[in-house]
Amino acid sequence: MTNKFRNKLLLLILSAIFVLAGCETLDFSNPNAPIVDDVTVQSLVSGIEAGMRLEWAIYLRVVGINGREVYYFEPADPRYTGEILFGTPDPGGFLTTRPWSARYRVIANCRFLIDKNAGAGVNGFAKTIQAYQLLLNLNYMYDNGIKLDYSGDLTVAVASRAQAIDAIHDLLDEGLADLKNAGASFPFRLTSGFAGFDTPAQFAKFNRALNARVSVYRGVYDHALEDLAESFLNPAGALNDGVYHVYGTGLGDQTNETFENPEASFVKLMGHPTFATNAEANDQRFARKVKVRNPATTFDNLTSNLGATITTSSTDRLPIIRNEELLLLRAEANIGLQRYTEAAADINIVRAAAGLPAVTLTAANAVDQLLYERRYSLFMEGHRWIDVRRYNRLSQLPIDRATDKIITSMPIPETEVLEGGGGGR
Amino acid sequence: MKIADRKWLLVVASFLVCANLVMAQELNVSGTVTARESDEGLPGANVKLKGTTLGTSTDANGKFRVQAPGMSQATLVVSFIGYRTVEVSVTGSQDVTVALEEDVLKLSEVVVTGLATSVARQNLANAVATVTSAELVSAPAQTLERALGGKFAGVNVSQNTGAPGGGINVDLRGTSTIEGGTQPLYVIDGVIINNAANQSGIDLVTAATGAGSANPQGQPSNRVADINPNEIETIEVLKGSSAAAIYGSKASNGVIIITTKQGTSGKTRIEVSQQVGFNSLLKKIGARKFTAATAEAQYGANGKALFEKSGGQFIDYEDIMYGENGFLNETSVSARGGSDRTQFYLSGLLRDENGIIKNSGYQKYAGRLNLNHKLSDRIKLDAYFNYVRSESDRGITGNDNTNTSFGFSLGFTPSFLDITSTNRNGLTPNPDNPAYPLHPLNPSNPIHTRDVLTNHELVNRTLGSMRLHWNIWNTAKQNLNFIVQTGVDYYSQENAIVSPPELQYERNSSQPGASLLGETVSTNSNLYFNLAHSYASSGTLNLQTSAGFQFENQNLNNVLNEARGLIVTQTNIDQAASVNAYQDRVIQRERGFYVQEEINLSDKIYLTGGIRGDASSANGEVDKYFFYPKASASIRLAQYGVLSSFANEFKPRIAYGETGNLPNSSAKFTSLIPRNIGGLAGLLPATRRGNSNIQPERTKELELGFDAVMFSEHASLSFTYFRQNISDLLLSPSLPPSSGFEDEVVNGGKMKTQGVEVSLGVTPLKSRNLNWTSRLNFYKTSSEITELTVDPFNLGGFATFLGTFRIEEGLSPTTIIGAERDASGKNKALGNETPDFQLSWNNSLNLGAFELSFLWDWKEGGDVINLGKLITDLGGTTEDYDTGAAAKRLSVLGSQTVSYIEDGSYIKLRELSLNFTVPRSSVMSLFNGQVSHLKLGVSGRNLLMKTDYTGYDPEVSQFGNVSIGRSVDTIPFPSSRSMYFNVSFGL
Repeated sequence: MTNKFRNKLLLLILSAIFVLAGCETLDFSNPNAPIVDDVTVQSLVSGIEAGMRLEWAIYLRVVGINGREVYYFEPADPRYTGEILFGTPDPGGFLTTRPWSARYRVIANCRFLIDKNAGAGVNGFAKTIQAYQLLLNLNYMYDNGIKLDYSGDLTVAVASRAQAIDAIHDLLDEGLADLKNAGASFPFRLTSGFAGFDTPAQFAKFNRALNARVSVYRGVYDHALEDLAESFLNPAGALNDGVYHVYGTGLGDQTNETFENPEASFVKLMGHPTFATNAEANDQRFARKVKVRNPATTFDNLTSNLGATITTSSTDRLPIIRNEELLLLRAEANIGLQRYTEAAADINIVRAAAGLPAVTLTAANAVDQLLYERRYSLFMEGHRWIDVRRYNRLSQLPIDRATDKIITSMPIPETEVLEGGGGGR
Repeated sequence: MKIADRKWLLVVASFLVCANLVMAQELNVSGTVTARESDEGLPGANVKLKGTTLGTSTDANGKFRVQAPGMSQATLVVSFIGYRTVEVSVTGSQDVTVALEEDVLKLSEVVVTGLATSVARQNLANAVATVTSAELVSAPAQTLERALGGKFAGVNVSQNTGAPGGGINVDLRGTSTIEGGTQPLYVIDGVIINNAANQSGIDLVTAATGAGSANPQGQPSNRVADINPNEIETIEVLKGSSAAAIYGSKASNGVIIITTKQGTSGKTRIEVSQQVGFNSLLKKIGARKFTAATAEAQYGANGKALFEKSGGQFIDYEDIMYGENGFLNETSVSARGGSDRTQFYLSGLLRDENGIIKNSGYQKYAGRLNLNHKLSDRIKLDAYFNYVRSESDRGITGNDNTNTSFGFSLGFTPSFLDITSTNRNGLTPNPDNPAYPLHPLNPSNPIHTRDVLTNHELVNRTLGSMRLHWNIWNTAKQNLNFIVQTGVDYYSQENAIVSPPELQYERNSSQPGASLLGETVSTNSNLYFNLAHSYASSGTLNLQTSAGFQFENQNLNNVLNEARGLIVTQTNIDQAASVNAYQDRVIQRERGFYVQEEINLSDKIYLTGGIRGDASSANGEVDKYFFYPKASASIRLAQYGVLSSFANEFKPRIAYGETGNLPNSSAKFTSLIPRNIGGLAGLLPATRRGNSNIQPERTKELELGFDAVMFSEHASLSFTYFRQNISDLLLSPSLPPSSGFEDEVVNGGKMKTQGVEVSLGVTPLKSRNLNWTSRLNFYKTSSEITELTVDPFNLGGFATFLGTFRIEEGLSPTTIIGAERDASGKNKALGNETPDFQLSWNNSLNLGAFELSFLWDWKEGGDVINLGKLITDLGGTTEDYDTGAAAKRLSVLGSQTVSYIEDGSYIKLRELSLNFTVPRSSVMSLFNGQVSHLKLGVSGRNLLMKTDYTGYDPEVSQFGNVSIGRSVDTIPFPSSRSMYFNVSFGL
């Protein structure tokens, strides 16, 4: 082979490499995930169902701690026994921001669904869930209000509590109207958490159950009774009938983070000691929801011997709303309308299920009794703090350490407001 | 012998030559190049005719021959790596011997200036730091980056964790980004290597990312750790933009160019080196001693009962957990040899290192073959092949939300409680493994975890590259070379984590036992075409023009499988109740080109100018080319008589350059991510919104400085001031979560970083038997955010009250803030993570057969957020707890952060080595001439640390290699000191 020939050959090979190397394009789509335009209604709906569980454990813990239902002894993070018990929740801390953000992520999916113009059934589902997610954030932030504008524009004011609760109510009504026009079935599947609520007609009962909760919060008790009449309330039914978050260990699924083995040598979620001292004798709800441990755990100068047992495994479901709450909502509406006999009937159904004798309600004891039943029936379901707050009884909650305080609301996350805003109380 | 003597000899020699052969028509010079110290021939030395493009290199015996038709006399320029360059005048046909002297002050080094060109350091117009093999591995280092520490001005090498296998941050010239990539580009023999820090998956056990922070916290090692430092010939650090501009939008963190050892023609030389030693804990932090009363106060009635049952003993858990004397072993063998046409370098390494925690360690097996072949007089082919297998076991350390990591768990273990054995003080035994009791005060028993948990990483890596050098055209004045360079870096990384079901925290899970299997496959490839033309006009003007195209591709695929509910004794992921899977791909491609001109006037004035343009798939607009210009100038004033009374060399220089930093390859995409439920596939918006306009961050840097060589070449001083203006800062400001997104990557601000680098080298003693070389490197840098188009925000750390960093106009980006606010409600600055200055002092002393070298490294200032102390405070086990200090810190937790912010200053004896070279005569007689040389020695790394910092080591970063958010301590794997005995010999 001559040198010249060899050089030519070399040049040829090199130019071939050059051309080949230049072929691969720089323009390609995300190798890891799809974009909104490409995905189906079903995957958005399932994403909503899955997303509603995000940070739910944090929400339940914080509402539980604020309402002095529980302590959360977290050795790895001082905040559960710190800022919220001290009364200074951090507007940038994860206890504030993570549940809030997760709810708005679900709402984003609801908005994508509505934008898809996929029919009344899809819209009715999306609006109902959107309203529910807003309600959870309003429960968290209370007088600080929530965002009803999703543009991300910080100059748009935060909606007040009154504006927000009205908007939630309206959204539920719109959802109901859509559901009534949605035909016999949804064009998507729901999980077992919505078993019995997976047609538009049945789902509408869930919608009304949520609206009953909203009406009671607003104090419009006659509306609440109307809502309840259209809901799945059933005095003869099982108290646990209702709508749930379900958990699983399948691919990409989520397990129930509230689960802890109550027999473990160290348990983080511990009942507040007053949950034992205030329980009526033989209240079966007490034994069902906490386990008395020996020895007691002392952590950060707080002591408890009550291991919370709200779940029995990491795939246990957690309630969104259930029959027992609806009975207590009807009782509350009747108390609000001073119909104590009707109220007592529902309360006594709940008491009988807990192995307790019937009570008679009067104007003097009705609210106390109602709050007692709600505390023990709905332990760690995200209610106690909100209930006590509704009746202006936060000051009656126990203070465990001299410098602790009860907080009324969580602050608006600092990223939602222009510099200097927000702030908890 | 003094330099003056040598010059005198040369002058005499050239006179003699000139007198004899004045009128010869053809220059035909032959000769020998030798090393002055040994008088042995130096193979591979370069011999060039000054003012022309003609030249050759010496053969196996150091001999050479140059012919130049039409020339009667010329100046030979003889150079060799590690030796001073010498010029010799020659005439006609002559035979010369040129003795080269070792270049301890690096005055004759050749430094790269582009992808195909280089220049002698004496002309260089910007600050490029270099280190040679001897300086690199004077004390054995586990990984390459560790060996770089303290050796350059302007380079900060800081470890994230002391865990075996690395996790080290290399920062060149201060903060040049807020949230962009931070690590320099590593180029080894022309291959851009992958330096990703791939998460191991340990986060899924510790849930470290679960609550306070969304940033991965597995403290992984970065993959440059795989490179074997023993194979390296030189490292060139292109710190500034003017030097690195040729690498365009990947170069704003600087470029580290590594050249491995090459073969030499002649007799095959085999070098063997054996090191053995041990690791031990560098520093203890101590623990609280309890009484019955304090035990009760801390842990309630149960605490008192446990204390009394234990008899009030004090167990030193630091001894138990971190007290192993890990055995170290390193065997390194290399062979060099070849013929005049083909040379090879072959090397192998076996390193085995046990950590200071039981069951932790690091192993590396590396092999390399470098071949250089002359296809013809005009075509040279170089091929490099490298295989590495590295394995590490790192235990479980650092931040944790499940209290399973060693540091956290020990923080909650009072010294009276014996969790090491069953029933010593009536603890409940673990029914699944009765040898270990259940920890009554913490969710896990760390001793049990240490003994049975696996956190193993295995990397198999192949690096291959080729360079074809084709001299297309060659005359006495002109020279045109075509250079093709291509390389591939391929590795597979397996991370296997097994958390057996019998562990205390697993027993309490509803699916006890976890097995995590991660597989990462990464391929980096690049292809460069370069054309380099040089023109030389009889000694006054030398022009080098070069241009080229670059293609760079990156492809990484990471799959992580998480199995829960393990079948007892089993670790396969299908032997479990449930499996989850995660996958992430990174695809990135770049296309670029450059042109560059270098002008050398009489070797006195040197000017360069160039531009690189490149497009990347990571940019929002993939077809858009971004341009990065550079220019520099230097003048050797001493050659014009300036300061020449005491300076042999005085060269002011000025350089300007621009470089970029690419956005993360996923920053431009708005995506939905999987969130499944009940067997239905669901999607939710990713928390990050894509930005389709994202583009590279740009650093514009001006550097000014001078290099001086003084006092008859007994001292060299290099001073550089640099100022970077960084624009289009890559930031990920928070979005209001009500929009459905939490953040977005934007180009949103400007920053100014400036600094000073001073490097002083002296040889106070220089004689045949006694040599002392000493080098001081001083470095200081500071940064300021000058403009922010997004709202000021906090970055890094876990929460404001736990210490975070403030990104705000007018502040340094490494400003630490906490819960404290001033009267106007603004967060008070509580410290700054950037050190006040860094100073290193490197010494090498030769006394006859003895050689002593040591390296001190001093960091002054630079604050650390010590959350490790908060952990032990919360656990009630901090050593100073009973002084009331901890109670004071805790009582203001949430409103005061300053008590957990500490000064991170330190002085460390990084390296120390003492070697004895057995006299040649003894070696010869002892081994019958079979052994050519023999060296014995001791060495150590991190032997001493002086610091007021109360954690294990102020060199720490829970969040790994981030720009902002370093120096957050959540009890990592503690640092160790290592000691070695070594023997090395040649065959």
